[in-house]
This record gives sequence, structure tokens and C-alpha cells, in this order.
Amino acid sequence: MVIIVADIIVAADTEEQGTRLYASLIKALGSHDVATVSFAGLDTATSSFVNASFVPLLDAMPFVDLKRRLRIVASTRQINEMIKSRLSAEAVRGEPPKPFPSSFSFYAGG
Amino acid sequence: MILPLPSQLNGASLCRFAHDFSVKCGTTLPGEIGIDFAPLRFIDPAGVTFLSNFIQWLHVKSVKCFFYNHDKPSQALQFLDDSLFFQSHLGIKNNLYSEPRSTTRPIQRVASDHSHSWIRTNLMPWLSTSININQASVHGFHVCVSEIFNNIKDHSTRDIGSVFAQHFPNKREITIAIADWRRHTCCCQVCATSAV
Repeated sequence: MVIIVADIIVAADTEEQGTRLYASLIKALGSHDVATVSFAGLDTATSSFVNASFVPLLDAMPFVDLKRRLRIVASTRQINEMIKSRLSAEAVRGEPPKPFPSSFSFYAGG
Repeated sequence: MILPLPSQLNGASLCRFAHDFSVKCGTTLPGEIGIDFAPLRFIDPAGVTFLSNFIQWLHVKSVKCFFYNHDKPSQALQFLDDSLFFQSHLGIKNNLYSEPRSTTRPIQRVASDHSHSWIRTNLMPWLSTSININQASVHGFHVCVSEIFNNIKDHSTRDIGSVFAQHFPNKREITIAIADWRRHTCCCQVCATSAV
């Protein structure tokens, strides 16, 4: 299952745009084991966008599962780092104390 | 009430200006205010956005606002005119031939809904050209500015802000000043040093 972000929203700037992507992500993960999310055509993502699109997925599954089931492709370094930092921070906040997640894999390129 | 501007209107003096205005007014705003530009000798990006937002705030509060000595020959007033400040507030430039300088993005009122497209199509291309680096290198800074406009949308009393940007090539510095609305008028400033 491949989700082309640019087919859903014109940019990854706002909370509203994040909410729209979240609806597609949760639907895809409900029916597929792995969802590939392509950011082709988009350069940047704000924290408001990621907080509304990716962070709520942690309510549906643990961070370790999300890392396995979600693949981010065709994204810029800024987008990768924003998603990674927001999910990592929220995962640590939401879980009982334990060793910090050692890695989060992103797949560059289409 | 006549409000003379300070000779230097910058991040430090605008706080004093706002405080003095508040003290002068007490609990009631006057019906009319005249802003006297005669003392002004220097204004920085924070001063430009603050003054622009302050004037808009007076309009919202139904205070009639007049300009005095704004068309006298002076480098600071020419800078404001080139920044389209008078065109923005009076509908006409002091000098027909005043134009935005290549080192500035003229004063702009940006509604939150349009802010992101303005950043993407106006501010960032100007920024990358000014400091001669590709746009991919300013993605991080792009997001910082976008976050400020998201913050304006989340917390301001009005969904619009003023923004003004200036490149100081000799200091290798870009200053972007963004002013929004809180309980009163409010200004925050972002500075970035170019990596030229």
C-alpha cells in the first residue's frame, strides 16, 4: 500500500493538512500490514503537521510496531528528522521507563 | 495625542515606546493619534513590523491615526518608503520612484492561511538568492518560520501577522521580524546568520 502524500494535500505545513493525512494513514494501516508513505514533491513538514498526522498513530499501536509498518520514502532530510524526532519524543513520553529506541529506519528514494 | 517616534526604533526602543504610550493613555485610548516621524533617524526590521502592527491595532481600536512629517527628506523615511510602509498604510508612496530594495522583503500583512505559500514562493527564494545557497539548504529555516505562523494561528487574537525581512550583507546576517496580535500588539523577531 503506497500513500502519495501530494495526492492528498498540497503541503505539509498545518495541523489541518496533518489531520487529512492521518485519516489516510490509519485507514491504510487498518487494512495493510505495511504502508509506504511517499513525500515526493514536498520539501518540508512542520511539527504541527506531524503532530496531527503521525503522532496520533501511537494511540493505535506501539512505536516499535509503527516503525516496522510505516515506511517513509522520497522525503527530504528535514521531513525525515521531523517525523523521527516527534515520534521518538512522543513514544518515550507515552511509555513506561525503558531503554531509548536505538534506531528508526527510513527508506530514501522512491 | 501626538506620539513622536524615537530617533532609533528597534527591538529595544519599541518596548519603551509601547510602554510610554500605555502610560500616556492610562485606561482610555484617545479618539485620535498623530504619529510624528520627524525624530526618526533609524528603524530596524523589528521596528518596521512593530510600527505597522501598532498602526493596524489603532485602526482596529477605532482610533483615528494621522502621520506627521512622514514626507520629509530623511534616510530612515526613504527606507520606510522603499519598504512600501507608506503605501501599505496611506495607499501611496512618498516618492513615486521608491521601490523595494534587493536587500529587503517589503512590509507585508500575511494572513495565516496564506503565510505558508508566501514563505514558499516569496521569502525562501529571496533568502536563498540573498545568501547564495540552494533552497534545500534552507528547509530547516523554512520550517522555523512556518512554525511561527502556525503559532500565530493557534494563539493570536487575530489570524494575521506582519512580516519584514532584511539582509545585511556586511554583517552576513538576515533578520526576519514577524509581529502578531496578543492581548495588545506584540512583536517577536527571528534572526539568522547566513553561511556565506
